[in-house]
Amino acid sequence: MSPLTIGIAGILLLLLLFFLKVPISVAMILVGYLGYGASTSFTAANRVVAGEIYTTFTSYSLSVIPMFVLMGFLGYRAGIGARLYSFAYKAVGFLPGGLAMASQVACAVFGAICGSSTATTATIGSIAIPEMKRYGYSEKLATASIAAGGALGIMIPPSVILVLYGVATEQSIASLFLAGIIPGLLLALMYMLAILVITLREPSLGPPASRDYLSLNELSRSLGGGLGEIMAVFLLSLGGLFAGWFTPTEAGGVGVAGILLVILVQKQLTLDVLSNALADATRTSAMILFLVAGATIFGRFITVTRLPFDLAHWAGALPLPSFAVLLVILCIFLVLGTFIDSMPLMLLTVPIFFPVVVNTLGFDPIWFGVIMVLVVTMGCITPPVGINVYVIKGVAEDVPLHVIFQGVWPFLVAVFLCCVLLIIFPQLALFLPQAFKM
Amino acid sequence: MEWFKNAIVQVTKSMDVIARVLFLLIMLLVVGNVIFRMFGRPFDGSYEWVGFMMGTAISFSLAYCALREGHIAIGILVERLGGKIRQAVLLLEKLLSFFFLALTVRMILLYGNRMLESGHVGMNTGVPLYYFAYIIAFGFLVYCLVLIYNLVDGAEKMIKR
Repeated sequence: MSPLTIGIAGILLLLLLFFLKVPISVAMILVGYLGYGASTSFTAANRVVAGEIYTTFTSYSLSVIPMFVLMGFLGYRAGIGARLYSFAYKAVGFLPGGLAMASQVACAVFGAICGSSTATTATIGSIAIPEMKRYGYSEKLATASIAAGGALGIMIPPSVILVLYGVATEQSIASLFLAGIIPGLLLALMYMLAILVITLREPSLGPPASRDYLSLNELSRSLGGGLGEIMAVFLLSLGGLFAGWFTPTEAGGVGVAGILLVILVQKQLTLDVLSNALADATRTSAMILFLVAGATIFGRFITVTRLPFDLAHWAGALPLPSFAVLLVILCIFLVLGTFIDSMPLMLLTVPIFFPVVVNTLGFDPIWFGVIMVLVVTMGCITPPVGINVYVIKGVAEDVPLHVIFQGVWPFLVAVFLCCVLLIIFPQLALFLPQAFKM
Repeated sequence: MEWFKNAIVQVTKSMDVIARVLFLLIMLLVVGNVIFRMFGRPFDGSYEWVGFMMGTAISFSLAYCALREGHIAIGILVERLGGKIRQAVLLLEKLLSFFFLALTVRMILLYGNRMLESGHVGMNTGVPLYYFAYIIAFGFLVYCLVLIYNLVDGAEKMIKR
């Protein structure tokens, strides 16, 4: 069998294992082992599997993941989400669809602190959905807006998916974080515009919650209720990373220490909060790092089959402009994203498509990382897997799944438009890394 | 088999508690290093210690994560199957995962043996690296035990049906 045939057989076997519900990390290691062994020798495959697991688990550069994950879960368990929502509610609650917009603001800020789309969706969803129901919002708008907004967590830094992309492609994590800021904020704005359009067309879907405009003084008082300190920690952590004072792991560590200090001073640090946050963080980090090990082993197998090189050669020889090839690749991501979760999808496809897009088609690797995350964002809310929709279903059990999926369409259009803007104006992602000379 | 199930829950939970403490220690070490570096006295070997502690923490939390079904899997097809067929597919999945992870334990142990023979140590700390290979192998071994737990549990459910 030629290496290419082994490569394609490996991908088919991987899909079969996925559908047998084998954990994605185990499936990737198993197929990587069998494929690498068949392409070279099983003695070499033994060493690759053991060596990659050891290297991944003890890697200093990957220790950034547990730190940012812990930072997010501490914020989640300490109830920062509720305060953020209350602040955003005071700021935009008077607008038509204002509560749904407030949820987007809260999702953007909480997602920035937390970095996880599911944690953002669960936190803001559990606070905002009952509130929206109280003010007569339609179930469709209330649930779908949070499912979509939760995905802002993987776009706005610190984003665990951008960290994984940076590690897998050897790109600067600080540059990727900077590159994600403007597209993330743009996406939040597009979501708010989508809500405004929906509620202007049919005001009964999201009536204003309050008729009063708030003064700047009231808003700043609201920020002073503990949120200012949290934002200061966030700025110190990421600012230190962008300024080159900290490594990414140190930025995460400083963030964890800062949030611990703030919630201690605010008397919100209990043994329960700390223990639950740590339990969430160990579980999530183990899942992610096992996934990274699996993807690395699978990537080694794919490399020995020369599949990415053949694919790059084929893509380079196509009588199509680079953008058309890129669009085909993004469509593949979109289709895969409908049934594979965002993190494994990113890890699985990067070794195959990154060389094509960056080396053959000549696109900027940082820009591609952001565009890829944006497309993956769509996968979080598209059926049948759409993880955020399932999280929302867990929060609002009485709302049927199909109602939530119907409601996400306007938000999918918003992500699509954001993608188009980013393709037409790559500077939206590249401006900040270039301004910081990264 | 109740004693076996209880033992697995206790062992995995205890290992996860150790992992949680290690996460806090990593944070303290990292922040301490940042502070001391400002005064021109960074900790020697802190990067290596972070790696060692993370390797231990992650391998110690793998099994508890599996027990709480925390490892991502795609269930859309299996969940559409009928009761008995679904149980059979899930048992097959656990069996397959068990055999492969048991093989992985062996691979990592052999990897540790090679590190021991070649005398690999951390560049700055001088700590022998094979310790951590054995710790990771132990983490995977307990993960295998969780899969046995799941197999027993699944078989019991199937018999009851």
